[in-house]
Amino acid sequence: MFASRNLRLCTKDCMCLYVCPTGASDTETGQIDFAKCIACGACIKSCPSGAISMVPDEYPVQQRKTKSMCGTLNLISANKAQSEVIAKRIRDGTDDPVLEQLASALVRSNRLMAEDICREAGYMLPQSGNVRQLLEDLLAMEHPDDFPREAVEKLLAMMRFNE
Amino acid sequence: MKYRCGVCGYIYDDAVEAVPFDELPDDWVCPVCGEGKEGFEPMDEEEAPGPTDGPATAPEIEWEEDEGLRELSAGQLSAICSNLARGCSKQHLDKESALFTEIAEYYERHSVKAQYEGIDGILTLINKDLGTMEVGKMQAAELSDRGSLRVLTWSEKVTLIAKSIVERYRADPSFIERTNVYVCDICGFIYIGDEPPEICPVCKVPGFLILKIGRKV
Ligand code: SF4
Ligand code: SF4
Ligand SMILES: [Fe+2]
Repeated sequence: MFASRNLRLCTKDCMCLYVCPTGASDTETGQIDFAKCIACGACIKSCPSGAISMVPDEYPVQQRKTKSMCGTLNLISANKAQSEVIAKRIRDGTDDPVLEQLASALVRSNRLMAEDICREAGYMLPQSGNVRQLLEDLLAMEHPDDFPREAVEKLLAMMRFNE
Repeated sequence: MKYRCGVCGYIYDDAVEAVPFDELPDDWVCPVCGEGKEGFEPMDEEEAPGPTDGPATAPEIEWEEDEGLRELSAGQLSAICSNLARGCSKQHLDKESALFTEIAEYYERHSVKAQYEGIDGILTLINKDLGTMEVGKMQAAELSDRGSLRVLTWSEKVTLIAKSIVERYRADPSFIERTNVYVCDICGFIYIGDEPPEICPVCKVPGFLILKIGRKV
């Protein structure tokens, strides 16, 4: 566990520097020195801007989703992903700067929706059993040569899966 | 009487609201996109209940699915992985984040050509999704799955707004020419206007997370 500072909220130069017993909160990068932090929580209590939070090492098992709900969500995320592809083709195939702009907005918007819907359909937490299963399934499949097999293997080795 | 928001398609129905539309204060704004009262048009009584196709034409949905891991498209795998990359970077797991990004990019390169094409293709999918979302919201409510209800509520609004913008653009492309385009970096809400709203009308994040989409010169 370690404390992490939200740089968008931090108003700089105050209480956390006084209360930190290890000097972890005083760094040239603006972020806390995670390696020095002993997770005592003093900075969190003292920060007037609510800018610090504790990042855990372990996460609880996620809320279970029903298959039927995931099925419905998957129907939608598949279409959002398709819409992103269509919008990309429009964006890359036009000379009209306004259409290009609208298509770029649609690319981004559809990606964000697809991400969020997939997230609710069982892929919320990177450390979850579902994600591990997905990575294992990917590894077991045949892929074209440019598939980043090593990235999948590294993730399976590095992530602290919670189930 | 029913009134429809000209920006996002939200419908104000006198029959179900406590206050009739005419008696709403002048500073009342659309609860979805923040458009003022004057941006609402009265709807013909004949007109269909809304811009969505509604549950009547909702696609058939398999409520119980038995197969193990459902087939996910390359586009979905890309979205799952780019989102996991973001989740990792929130946890300051930067190496893991980069690895998920690598997989997301692979699937983005390999996402197959869409079945539909052009702006019309996007509208076709939007209409399908609006029907599915309607059913999905009922399903989520029944299961008390608030997370799914949340994502469906947001994405339905974002989709309705996108639909209204695309339709407006088709009717008159010049309405974007004179102004700016923004996308909420959290929910995907698209906004056409000079300045972004102070908070996202859909997901309520502060305006600095609503990002401008540049135009090439
Ligand atoms: S949690 Fe304790 S050690 Fe870590 S930065 Fe805050 S005050 Fe310092
Ligand atoms: S106490 Fe809070 S606001 Fe002040 S420097 Fe520390 S993190 Fe920033
Ligand atoms: Fe938003």
